[in-house]
Amino acid sequence: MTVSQTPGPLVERSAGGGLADVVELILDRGLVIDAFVRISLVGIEVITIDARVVVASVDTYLRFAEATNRLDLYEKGGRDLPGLVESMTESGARGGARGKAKGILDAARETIEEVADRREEAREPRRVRPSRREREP
Amino acid sequence: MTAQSHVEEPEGDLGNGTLCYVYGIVPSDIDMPEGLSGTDGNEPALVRHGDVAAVVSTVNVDRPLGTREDLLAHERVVESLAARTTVLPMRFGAVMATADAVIDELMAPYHDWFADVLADLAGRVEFIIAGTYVRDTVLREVIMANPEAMRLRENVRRLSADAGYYERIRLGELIVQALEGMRETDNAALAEAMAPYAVAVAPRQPVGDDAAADVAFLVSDAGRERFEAAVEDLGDRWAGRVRLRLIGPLAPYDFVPPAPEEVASWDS
Repeated sequence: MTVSQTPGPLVERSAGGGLADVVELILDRGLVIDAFVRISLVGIEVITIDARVVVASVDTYLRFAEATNRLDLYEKGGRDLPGLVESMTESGARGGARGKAKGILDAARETIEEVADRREEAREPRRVRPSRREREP
Repeated sequence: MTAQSHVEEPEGDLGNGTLCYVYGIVPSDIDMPEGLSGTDGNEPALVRHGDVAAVVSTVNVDRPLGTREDLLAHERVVESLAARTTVLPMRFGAVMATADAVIDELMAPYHDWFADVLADLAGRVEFIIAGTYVRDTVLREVIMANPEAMRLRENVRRLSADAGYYERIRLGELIVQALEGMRETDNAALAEAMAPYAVAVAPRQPVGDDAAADVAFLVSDAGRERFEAAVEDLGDRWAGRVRLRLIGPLAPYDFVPPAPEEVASWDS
């Protein structure tokens, strides 16, 4: 991937060409040939990588808990506290309300169903169908 | 119509064991960049029809498509073309039997639609801005704003890993949920902040534990400098909390319209 810092130090630049950046574009966007062609379309087997399936799992929860555990809440060098508190109350109100949501089993079940649905959706309109899904290596 | 068609025969034998991989649609008045390597290392060629052309190369049929190299080939060809002209990119995996079939079934019936869409997108490219949270900053925000998370964190720090297992999970769950809320807010904020500098905006789904935002912008050549300057400004304002990455210029993947419902010449 071509990454250059040319315009400034704060925004990283990437000129495309990096698979990690564009894999989801290639697989999920663009014109779907099935929508245009019906006769000479070849049902070739396509292995796709579902880059979008990232699910909140117990592992993710434990990782965040660990990071939080290590965190020094009042560390200097971050943003100063008044500014922090101000922006927190804003985003916190929303986060807090959602925080009451469901237990972990419900969340896990929903996640599995979502993934299953996604696969159905992905498969439905395509004659060229994915045989296997992998995470982006 | 067929009188206007012209096939630059791609390498390989389309009628014998190999098929025709379609990368995208471009205006027919362009020259192919030299020495491009497409699927299976074959050089892509143009299949011209009237004002539009399909970019194709031969692909072998004896294996499933979708290796890392296949994806890179698709991306490489589309981006090389996007650097010099307007491209309507196909989604990965578009394979047809022969170059003739590309003309008869793709280019001829949809010629006018392709030409119109290409004209609409002329002089415009896609940029994606992706944001990543600075983890410690947002974790502090979440903990300080959420008394339950604060309490759980204190407990977890006192307890052994085993004793605090369920509290750990609950704490992590609270954080993940809080981040989802933040992500929604920040994605909308990114779209809004940059919308004045773009022709069109397509918010995407930020993915990943630390993902903060992911939005695609259609930017005109004339407005590109202002857009890039505005990204810098935003990166400056968000520094310390969200790191921004600017990806592009890309073919307008997020801005191709849905395929037309019906085509007049379909039954002919």
